Amino acid sequence: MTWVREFLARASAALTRRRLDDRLRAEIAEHIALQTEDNLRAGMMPAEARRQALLTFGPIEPLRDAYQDQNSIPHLDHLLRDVQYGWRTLRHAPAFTVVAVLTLAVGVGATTAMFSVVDGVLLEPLAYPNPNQLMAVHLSVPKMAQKFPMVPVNPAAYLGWSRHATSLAGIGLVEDGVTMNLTSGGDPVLLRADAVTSNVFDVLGVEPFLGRNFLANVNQAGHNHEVILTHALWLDRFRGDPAIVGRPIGLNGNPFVVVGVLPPGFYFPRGEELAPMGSSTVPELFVPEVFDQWELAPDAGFGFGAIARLRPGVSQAHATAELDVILNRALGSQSFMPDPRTTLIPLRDMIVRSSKRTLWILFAAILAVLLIICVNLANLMLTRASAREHESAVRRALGATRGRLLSQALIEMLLVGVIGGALGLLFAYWGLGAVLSAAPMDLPRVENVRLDGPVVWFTLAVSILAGLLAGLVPAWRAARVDPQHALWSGGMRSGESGVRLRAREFLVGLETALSTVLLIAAGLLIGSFAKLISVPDGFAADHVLTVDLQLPSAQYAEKQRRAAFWQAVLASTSALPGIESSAIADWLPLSGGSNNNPVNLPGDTRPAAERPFAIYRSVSPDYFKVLGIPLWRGRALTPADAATHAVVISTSAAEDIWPGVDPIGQRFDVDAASGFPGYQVVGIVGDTRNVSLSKAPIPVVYRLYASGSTGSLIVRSRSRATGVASELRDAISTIDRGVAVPAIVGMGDIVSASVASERFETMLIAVFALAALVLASLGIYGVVSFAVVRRTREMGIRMALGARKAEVMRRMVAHGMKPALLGLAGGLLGGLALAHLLSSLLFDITARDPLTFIVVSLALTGVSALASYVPARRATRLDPMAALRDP
Amino acid sequence: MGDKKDVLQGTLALMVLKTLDLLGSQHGYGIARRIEQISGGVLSVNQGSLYPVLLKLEQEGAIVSGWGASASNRKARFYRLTRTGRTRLAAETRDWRQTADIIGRFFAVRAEELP
Repeated sequence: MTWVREFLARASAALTRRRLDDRLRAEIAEHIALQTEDNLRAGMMPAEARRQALLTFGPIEPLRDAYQDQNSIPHLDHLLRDVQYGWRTLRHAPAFTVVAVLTLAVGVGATTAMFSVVDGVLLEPLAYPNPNQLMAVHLSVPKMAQKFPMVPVNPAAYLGWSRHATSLAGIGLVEDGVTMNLTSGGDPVLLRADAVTSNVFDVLGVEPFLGRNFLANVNQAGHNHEVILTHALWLDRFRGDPAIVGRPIGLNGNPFVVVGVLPPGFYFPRGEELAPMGSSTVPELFVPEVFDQWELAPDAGFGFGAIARLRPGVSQAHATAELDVILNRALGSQSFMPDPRTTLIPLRDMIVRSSKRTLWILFAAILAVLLIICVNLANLMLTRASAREHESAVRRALGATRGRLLSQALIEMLLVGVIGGALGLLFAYWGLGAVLSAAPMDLPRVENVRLDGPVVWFTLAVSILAGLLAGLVPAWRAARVDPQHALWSGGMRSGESGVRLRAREFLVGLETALSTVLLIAAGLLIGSFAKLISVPDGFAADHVLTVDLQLPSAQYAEKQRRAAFWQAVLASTSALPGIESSAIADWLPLSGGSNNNPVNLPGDTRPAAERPFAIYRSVSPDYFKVLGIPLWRGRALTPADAATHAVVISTSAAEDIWPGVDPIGQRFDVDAASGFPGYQVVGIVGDTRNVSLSKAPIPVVYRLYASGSTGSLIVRSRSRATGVASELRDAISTIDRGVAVPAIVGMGDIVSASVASERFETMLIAVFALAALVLASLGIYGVVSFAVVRRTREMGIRMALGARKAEVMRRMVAHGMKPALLGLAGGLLGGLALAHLLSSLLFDITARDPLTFIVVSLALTGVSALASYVPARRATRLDPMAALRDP
Repeated sequence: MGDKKDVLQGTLALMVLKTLDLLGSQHGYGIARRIEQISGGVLSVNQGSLYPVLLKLEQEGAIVSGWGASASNRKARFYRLTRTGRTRLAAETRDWRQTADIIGRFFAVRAEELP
């Protein structure tokens, strides 16, 4: 244990160094005085006595050094000194320091921001207790598996499971996409709501943070006027007033009592995360679900999502089997969905499914950029080590140990790493802010993303690691410099050691290859996106404005009143001077709505699953005129068609449902039992993209819009009309002040919103690719030009020996570009391979799109050419004698 | 270079401890003279190298120091052994004797006596 005592003694001595120094001096003086005395007594002369005393004592300076070494913790001492030295060296090479620090900062900042996003959205577990037990429940119908691989559940199935399943701790049903007109707390506004069974929050394991959960009986008519608010809505609309709990608010004209408010940061899965074709918007409040009688039939109502929690210890397979048995009993008797099976998918997988792809791409991009940074730094360090070879050799000759040189070099790198890391954190913070503001609303749990503790440590660790890793090899080489070599020829060398040169060339090649691959991936994705948004959507979206309207149910309970409203709106808006034509539709293309049904042709006895499907829409006569959808054959709808059940179909419907036959005049959906004479086709219109731009048009059947309680008003404004939006608003308010007029949106915005996540993804990749290009260009430029500069002497010699300038330059440029071109070739091959991988993700772009490859090759070739050319030119301009002299 | 210094420091430390054991309390110069006498000239060149050893021993707790008056009434720093120092001296003495013993046996062996 003496070392502990010694260490403490040293530490305390280090602090009281001055005093101990004085003490030593005093002691030495005393010692010498005593020796002098003795010498005097022995008979020497005073001067001689003192001289002899000093000689006998020995050299004092090494003594003081040894003494001081004992009085301090030498390693700490050296460390501090090295840090000071490193700092000073860095200050004296500002170009290197700035480039190195910026490289590190930009790269680390970007990657940290992205890592935060990935961490918040993909890696963090779902915020529910025991999230691994939560499953989303669907059906799968083997016969329909091609068109509809997953089918939403219906109330009959749900009730069966909820009553009889023993492998589940609970199961809740969710109907998404319910629109509610909120009239309390401000102007009327349309909100997205989910209608749920009373136990949904219990299943998820969340307690409202104010108030209480739904009572068990709310799912019956008459008891269902309760509502639970999300935290965001509570803050936004009700100013965070806790007194709102227990008070009624007006929804769709009826009072609903607020019974609870959900905790902040709680995320309820969106419709599309629970069931296919669900909505993509986040619900803002929750009301109890009440089933209509017809919805309870075994073959009806397949439009709900279900969340189930497995009992602890129960496996997914076991639960699936039990649910299948119950399902069979509940739905076995119907033939609409033949042979339905239960599918359980972990909720976590459903929630991140849509963004998983984006995030894994980002992850890959992060790694690529990190690699490029490391390579850049390594290059910088190698370059610097070369330049300081002479200095290192001199220091070795003067007695510095290899260890000291190595540790000094490493400390320099560490300093760069720390400064770069701190700066990188700042960049990350800004970058994250920018990313979050541009992120599409539907990136799940985007509110979870922030710079927190683990991320900060990650950043610092990464930057320090990058600095050390990149600097390790050059540092090691610097330490191994032979001191002799510096003393030869005054440090002048006409060439470069083979290994070092090859190492640098390898790094240039590697960097070029990595950048090439990243840039190719980016180029392909960007090209794919460009194709996506230029897809002909089948309608003319410019000058078209839309607004979603909902009629309050209290005043508009009767069909006549509703029909009258819509007619009044159409009449009044068409008459406005700034408007060319107006129409009503049940929902708008590319806005998330859908209404798929099988088409019943007369005499078609196939089960529903095998019949052709179409989207059934309800539109007013001018719909096609407003959206610019061409009418190919027959006639459009007229108001008179309310009685005739005439419909218009899309081109793909004509081809799919009546192949080879003229559809005009055909009847379908004839229902003898109810006396419905069926729809009759009177016209064929052009296809439009309905569900998404990337999916091929689905057959559509357009009926006449009559008297729904919600509808979208779309108008085409005249080319140079202004103020149309407010005119619309006034017109509607004049007809009925009680109908809320939410934001009026241009159709063009709806189209672009439908590709919001692809756009976001592409933008992120583009940013990364740009960063990669800049970093790579800097790296390649720096290294290649340095290599050429080093050969200035060689060029001088050649020119002095008679070579022509052009010849010498050509040589230098060719030589400088060689490693970059090799890297480019390697990168192109890698890019081809990657493109193959990406071809599954790409929309309508062949993985070998030549444009991307050409552009990338040109860009990187250009950079390396420039990097070789500029210094070569400068060197050839020099007087050969100056070039020869230049070390 | 380093090795030789360390060994020298180690033996020097032992010598200092033994000297203090014999003399009780002494200042640096006195210890140096005494060691010079006993060792017959090992330290005759660099008396100064004693001081780092004294400091190390003090940091290790084997000796303590304090100001006092020398024979000629000059102010000097006096050192003496602590209990830890005595224990250490005994242990190291034992070690040295043992080492000398083993080496001695090696020197005493004749080639014929080996099996």
